[in-house]
Amino acid sequence: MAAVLEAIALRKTYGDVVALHGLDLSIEAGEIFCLLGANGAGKTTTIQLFLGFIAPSAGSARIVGLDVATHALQTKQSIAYIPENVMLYPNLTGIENLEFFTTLAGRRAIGRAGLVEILTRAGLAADAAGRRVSGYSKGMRQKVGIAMAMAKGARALLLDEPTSGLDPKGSNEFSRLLQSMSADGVGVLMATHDIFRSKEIGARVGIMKHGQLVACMGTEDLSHRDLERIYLEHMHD
Amino acid sequence: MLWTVARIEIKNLLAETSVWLVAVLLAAAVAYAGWTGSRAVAVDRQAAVSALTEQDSRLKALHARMLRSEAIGQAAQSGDDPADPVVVGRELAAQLAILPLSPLAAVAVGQRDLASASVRITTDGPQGRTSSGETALAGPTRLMTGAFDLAFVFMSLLPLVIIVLTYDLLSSERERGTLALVLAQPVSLATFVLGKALLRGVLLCGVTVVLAALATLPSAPDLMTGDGALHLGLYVAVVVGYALFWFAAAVAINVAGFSSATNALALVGLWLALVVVMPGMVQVAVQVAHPPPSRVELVNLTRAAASEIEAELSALQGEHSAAVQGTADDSALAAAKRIVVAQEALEHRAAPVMIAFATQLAAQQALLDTLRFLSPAIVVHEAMGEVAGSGAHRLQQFASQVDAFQARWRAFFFARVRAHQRLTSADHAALPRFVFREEPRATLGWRVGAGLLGLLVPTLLLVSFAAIVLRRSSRPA
Amino acid sequence: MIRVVAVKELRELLRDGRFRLAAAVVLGLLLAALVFGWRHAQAVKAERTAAQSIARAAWTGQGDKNPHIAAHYGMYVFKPAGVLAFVDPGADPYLGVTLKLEAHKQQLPQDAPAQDGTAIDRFGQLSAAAVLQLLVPLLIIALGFASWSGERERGTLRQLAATGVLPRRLLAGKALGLALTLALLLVPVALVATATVVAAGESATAARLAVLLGAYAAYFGVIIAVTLAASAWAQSSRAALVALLGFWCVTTLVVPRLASDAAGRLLPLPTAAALAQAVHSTLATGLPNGLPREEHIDTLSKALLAKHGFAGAETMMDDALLQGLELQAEAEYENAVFDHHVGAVMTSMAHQEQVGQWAAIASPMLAIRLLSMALAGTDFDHHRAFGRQAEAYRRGLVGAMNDDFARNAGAAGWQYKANRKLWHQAVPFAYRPAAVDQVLRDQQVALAMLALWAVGATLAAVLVSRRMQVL
Ligand SMILES: Nc1ncnc2c1ncn2[C@@H]1O[C@H](COP(=O)(O)OP(=O)(O)OP(=O)(O)O)[C@@H](O)[C@H]1O
Ligand SMILES: [Mg+2]
Repeated sequence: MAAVLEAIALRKTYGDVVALHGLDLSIEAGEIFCLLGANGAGKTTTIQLFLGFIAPSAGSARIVGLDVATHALQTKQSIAYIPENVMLYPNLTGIENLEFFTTLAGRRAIGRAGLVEILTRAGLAADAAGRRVSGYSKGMRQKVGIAMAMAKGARALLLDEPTSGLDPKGSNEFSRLLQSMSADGVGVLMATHDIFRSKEIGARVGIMKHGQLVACMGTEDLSHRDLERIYLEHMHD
Repeated sequence: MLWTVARIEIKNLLAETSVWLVAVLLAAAVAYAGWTGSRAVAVDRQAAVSALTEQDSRLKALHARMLRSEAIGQAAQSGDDPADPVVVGRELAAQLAILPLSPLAAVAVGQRDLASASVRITTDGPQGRTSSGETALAGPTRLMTGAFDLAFVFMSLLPLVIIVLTYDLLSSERERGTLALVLAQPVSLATFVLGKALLRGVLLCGVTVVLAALATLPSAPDLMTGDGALHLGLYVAVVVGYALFWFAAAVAINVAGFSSATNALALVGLWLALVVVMPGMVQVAVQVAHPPPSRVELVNLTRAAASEIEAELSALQGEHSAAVQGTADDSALAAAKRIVVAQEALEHRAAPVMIAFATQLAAQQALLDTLRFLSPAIVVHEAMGEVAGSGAHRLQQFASQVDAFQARWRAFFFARVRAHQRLTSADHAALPRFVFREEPRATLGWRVGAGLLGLLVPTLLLVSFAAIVLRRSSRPA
Repeated sequence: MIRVVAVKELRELLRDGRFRLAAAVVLGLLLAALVFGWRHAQAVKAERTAAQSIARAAWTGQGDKNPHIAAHYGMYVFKPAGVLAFVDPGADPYLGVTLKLEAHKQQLPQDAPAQDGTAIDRFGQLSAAAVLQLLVPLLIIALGFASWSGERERGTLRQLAATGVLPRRLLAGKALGLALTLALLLVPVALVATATVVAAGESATAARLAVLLGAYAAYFGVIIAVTLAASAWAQSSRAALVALLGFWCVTTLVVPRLASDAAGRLLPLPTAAALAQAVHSTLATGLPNGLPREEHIDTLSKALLAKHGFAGAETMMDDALLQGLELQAEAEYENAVFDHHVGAVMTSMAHQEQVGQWAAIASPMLAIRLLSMALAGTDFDHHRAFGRQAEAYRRGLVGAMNDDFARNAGAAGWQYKANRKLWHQAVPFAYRPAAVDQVLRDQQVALAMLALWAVGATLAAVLVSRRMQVL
C-alpha cells in the first residue's frame, strides 16, 4: 500500500536547539501510528511539519506523495488535524463551526442534515450541536474536531494529544471513532502520552527522544506491560 | 472561499456586543456633530443676512437723502453730508464684506471662529478693514479645545473606532487557537485574511459613507446649490480614504504577528503619532521656518507712524468740518485732499508690515501644503476645511479680495476728492459692492485630490506590506 | 510586603523593552517641549518688555498737549506671558495681548497669536502640559493594563493568592511599583524645570510650579488607580486594555469638547458686532432701568462737585474746572455702561469656564487641564484679571488727566497744555498675577473634582481587587 504520511530525513532546528533529527517515517492508509515521548521530545514539531505550520530545516514531509513545502494547499485537502485543544468560534454553534470548516475544506455538498448526522456519529447530541460553543466542555469541542475530520473525508489524520484531559469514557469513544476511520482507510499519526491507549489502537508505536525516533515497533505481540517497560528503559539513561 | 470566510466573519461580528456598542457610539457622535454644526451655521447665516439687510437699508436711506438734497439744492450738515466723499467713504457708506458660507460649512468650523469672515471696509488705512464680528464671541477654552464638529469626529474618533474593531482581526484567531484549525484546511493565510478584511473593509466603507452623508442631511438644501455636489463627493471620498488608511494599518500590524495587546498599543501609538505628535511637530516646523512678524512690534510701529500723521489728520479734520460748514468752498476741498494724502501716507507706512504678514502666512500655508503628507490626519484636517469652505486657502483669498476691494473703494472716493468733486446720486448708485469670487472648482479639486493621493499612497504601502508578509508565511503560530 | 511587590513590579517594568521604548519617546517629547517652551517664553517676554518700554516712551514723549487730548491719545499695554507658559501655554494663544487704554473706550485685548497661524495650530501645541496630560496617561495604561489580568492569565495570580497576601497589600505594591517607575522618569525632569525657574530668580513662580507638580502627581495617581481597577475588573488583558483606551479617549478627547460645546450652548455670547452696537446705543441713550444719559451724567457731576466742595457755587467757578469735572462725570457714566455690557460678557465667559470645572466630574483630564492652566497663569481668569487691572489703570489715568484739566486749565480752557511732568506722574502699568492661594480658590471646583476622582478611583481599585476572581 502507498504511504499517506511520509517523513524523509525530516529535520528541524531552532537556532542551536535541534527539535527533530532527520526523521524517517512512513504511515500507510488504514494504519494508526502512535508517537510516544517525553515533553519536548519533538512530537508536536513532527506534526506541525506535516501541517506545514513550520518549515523544515532539511528533508521533507509528504502527504499522499506530495511535498508539504511545495504543495501547501493541495496536501491540506487530504489531511485533518485535531490539536490537544480544539478551539472554535465561541459565538457560533457547533454545527455552524463544523459547517464553516468543512466549507473551507471544500465539502459544501454535505448540507446541514448531513453535518448533524456526522456530529451525532462523533458523539455530540443534536440539541448540544445547536448551542453556542462558548458553553461547550473540552470533550464536546474535541468531538466537533473529530466530526470535522470525518466530514472532510481526510486520507490522513494528525492528532496531537487529542485525548488528554478527556474522561475515560470519552477517551474510549474517541478510540472507537479513530478505529472506524482507520478501517475506512485513513492513515493516522497520533502524538500521545497514553501508553495504554497506544497499545489498544495503534498498529505501530514509535518512541521519540531528543528529536530522534529511538524505537519503532508493532503492537501485536506486545502487552501493555512490555510497552511501558520499553518506554521507561528508553527514557532512562 | 472568500465568501465562506466573510460569512462566518459577519456572524462573529454581529455576535460581538462591543461592535454594536462602538458603532452606536460613533453614530451618536456623528449625529451630534452634524446637528450642532448645522445649528451653528444657521446662526451665522442669520447674522450675516441681517447685517446685510441692515446695510442695504442704510445705503438706501443714504441714497434717498442724496436725492432729496439734490432736489432742494442744499448741503446737509457737515459730518453727515451724503455729498461729501470723505465722510461717505469713511463712515456713511461703510461696506460689509462677508465671506459666504459654503454648502458644507457644517462639516468643519476650521479657522472660521478665529479669522474674521466679516469685515467693515472704509477708506481709512489698515484700520479701514476692521473685523465687523458677525460671528458669536467664543471663550478661549472653546477656541483652544476646538469644536465637536464632523471634522473632529472623522479625524480623531473614527480611527479609534476602526482600531477597536480591527486591532485583533487575526491575532484573536491565533490566540483563540482557531487559526490552527483554519490553516489545517486547504486555505492560504492570505485568502483567510483577505476574506476577513474584505468583509470588514466593505462594512466599514459602507457605514462610513452612510454616516458621513447622513450627517450632512441638515444642510441638504444647500447641497443643491453651487459646488455642493462636488464638495459632498470630495468630503465623502476623504472620509472613506482615511478610514481605509487606518483599516490597512490595522491589517498590516495584525499580519506582522504580534499579540492582540501589542497590536492595540501599537495602533494607538500610531494614532497618537499621527494625530497628536506629528501635527505638533509640523506646527513647530512651520512656525520656525516662516515666523510671522510680531503683532506687538507692529502696534508700536504703526503707532509711531500714525502719531505723526494722525496728529496732522485730526488737525485737518477739524479744519475740514469747519470749512464744509455751509458750502462746498475751496478750502474745504483742499482740506479733504490733504486728509486723503495723509491717509495714503499712513497706509504706505504700514504696508510693508502688512505685506510681511501676508507673505509669511502664505509661506506657512505653502509649507503646510507639503508637510501635510507626513500625516494622513493633517491631510484630512486640511481637506475638511477646504470642503467646508473654512480652510486657510479660502480665508486667505477672502483677505486678499478684501484688500483689493478696499483699494477700489479708496480709489473711488479719493479720485473724486482729488478732482474737487462732490458726490452725486449717480455716484451713490454706482458705489462699489463687495462680491466674493470663489476660486475655480478645479483648483480646490486638485488640492483635495492631492490630499486624497496622500491618503491612498500610505494605504497602498501598508496593503503591499501586508501582502508581502502574507505571501511569505502560512504559519498560525 | 508592599515593598517586595513594588520592587518586583518595578523590576519587571524596567526589563520590558516596550516600556523602555515608550518611556524614551515620552521623555524625549517632554524634554523637547520644555526646552522649546522655555525659549519661546523667554523670547515673548523680551519682546513684550521691549514693546512696553517703547509704548511708555511714546506716552511720556508725547509733547505738550491738553491732558484730555492726551487721554485720547492713550497708551498701549501688553499682557505679559503666563509665568509658567513654558510648561503650559494654555489658552494664551487664543487670548489678546495688546490693549489700548484711552478715554471714552474700554477696549478688549487684541492680537491673539493664533490669528496669525495656519490651520495646523488647531491640533493643539505639543507643550509639556500636552505630553503630561495626554501621553503620560497612555504610558501608564500601557504599563499597567495587564497588571492584574496578566498575572491571572499567566497563572501567577493563583500562586500569589495562595501565599495569603492581602489583596490590599498587593494592590498597594502594584500601585507603588507603577508610581516609582513613573517617578524614575519624571522626577528628574521636574527637578531640572524647578531649578531653571529658581535660577531665573522667580520664587513666586517656583511656588506655583510646586503646586503644579503636586497636581500632576495627583492626576497620575488617579490614572494609576483607574488602570489597576480596570485590570482587576476585566475578564482579560485585552478587555482591560480596550476599556482603558476607551476611558482615555472619552476623558481626553470627547468630554472636553462636549463640555465646551455645552458651555457655549448654556451661556451663549453675543457677536462682537452686537456687543459693540449695544455699548454704542446705551452710551447714546442711557442704561436700561437707569436714568437717561444726560440726567445720569448730571447726577454724577453733581456728586463730583459735592465731593470737591463746590455744591451750589458753580457760577463762581471758572469754566475749565466745570469742564474738567464734566468730562470726568461723562467718563464715569461710560464706565458704568462698560461695566454693564462688557462686564456681562466677561461674566458669561467666566461662567463658561466654570462649566468646564464642573464637567471635570466626567474627566480627570479636564480637572488637571484647568488647574495646570490656572497655575501656569495662562487661563481665562488671569486674562480677565489683566483686563480688570488694565481697565482700573485706564480709569485712574483718564481721571488724573481730567483732574489736571479741572485744576490747572484756568482761563486757558481747551488751549491749556500740560507737559511731560504730568505724563511722568502716571506710574507705568504693571500687571500683578494672582497669588497661588487665590488661584486655588478660583479653581476650587476643579480641585474638588480631582480629589473626588482620586478618592473614587482608589476606592474602586481596592473594592475590585478584593472581589477579584483568581482564576
Ligand atoms: N518556536 C520554538 N522555538 C525554539 N524552540 C522550540 C520552538 N518550538 C519547539 N521548540 C523546541 O523543540 C523541542 C521539541 O518541542 P515539541 O513541542 O515538538 O515537543 P513535544 O514532544 O510536543 O513535547 P510535549 O509532550 O510537551 O508536547 C523542544 O526542545 C522545544 O523546546
Ligand atoms: Mg507537544
